Amino acid sequence: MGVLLQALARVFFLIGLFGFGGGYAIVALIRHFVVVENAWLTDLQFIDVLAISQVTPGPIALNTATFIGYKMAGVIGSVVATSFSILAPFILVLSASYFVHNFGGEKVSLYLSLLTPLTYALVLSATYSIVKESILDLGGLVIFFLSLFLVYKYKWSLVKVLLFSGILGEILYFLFPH
Amino acid sequence: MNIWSLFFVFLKIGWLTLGGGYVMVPLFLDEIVKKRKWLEEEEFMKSLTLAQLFPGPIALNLAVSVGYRLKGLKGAILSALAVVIPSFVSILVIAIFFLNFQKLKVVQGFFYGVRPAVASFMVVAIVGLLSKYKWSFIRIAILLLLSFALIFLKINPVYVILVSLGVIILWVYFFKH
Repeated sequence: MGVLLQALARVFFLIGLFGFGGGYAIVALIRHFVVVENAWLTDLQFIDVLAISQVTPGPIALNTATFIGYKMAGVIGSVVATSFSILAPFILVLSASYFVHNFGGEKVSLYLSLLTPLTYALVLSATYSIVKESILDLGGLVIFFLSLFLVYKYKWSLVKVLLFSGILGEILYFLFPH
Repeated sequence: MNIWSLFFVFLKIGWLTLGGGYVMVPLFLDEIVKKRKWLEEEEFMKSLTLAQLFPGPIALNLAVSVGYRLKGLKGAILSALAVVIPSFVSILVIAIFFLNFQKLKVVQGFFYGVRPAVASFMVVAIVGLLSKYKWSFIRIAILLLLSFALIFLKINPVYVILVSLGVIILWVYFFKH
């Protein structure tokens, strides 16, 4: 295996292994490895991948693994990154399912409730970095509050909001070239 | 029930759920417990708890856990594949398209607009989580401490996760026996 493929395998194995809390909680972890540590994506490209993964099937962690794997090392890279990202959870959940009758239900829910502040802190830190990096000018700020309003107040679906803000972005980008 | 119908049910859910993650859970419940009665609701909830307890995407963990429960190792492997394939294929196609066309003004303009919207989704998600949570002084303190470590001290999230797990295990061991 090439050096790059090895790095992809290692990083996505670790993301799978430490990806507690699922969904947005994994975003902080992925950003750390992919943007901060390896510089495979810039912050803006990372947010683009998050946007894409909102409108495609499947968990964010798998989506980013496939995307970054392809970007760095083509189809082989995407296969390596995706399969290593599911390796640890697959083995852990499989062995846990095997031993499942040894789990006391109470103990499991105790652990879960203790994990919650950690999960929320991870989501909070991901939110902080994404808000900071994605709102770069007045147009961005307007789109941010507008889509916040549409999701929160009018319960628009995420796909609809993305389409709407994308078109709004086109107009602003056309009127005020960057 | 044969093993391939298990595979195709997961594949169907995999293709249908945009955004992934928690969106899939009610669909799993509907197909597996209510429509097909492959599992009792209590059994399903046990699998869900397992899925949440371990690292990794909830949808994948749930598929592996349910797949194993129903059809052993083969069931677990096929269920995992069924969740991965839709995600893999759609992202691969988009990645090929996106990486070739990202320099185009049209694509740049679109993503210029989409990025702040993604940020607003995260804000809505975290506000929703925080407002539903039962707060206590110690939980607020822990949340603030961990967030401070992650955001301002920029500590590697892996270390934050490891230390938190260590503390949780010790705490349960010494105080909950």
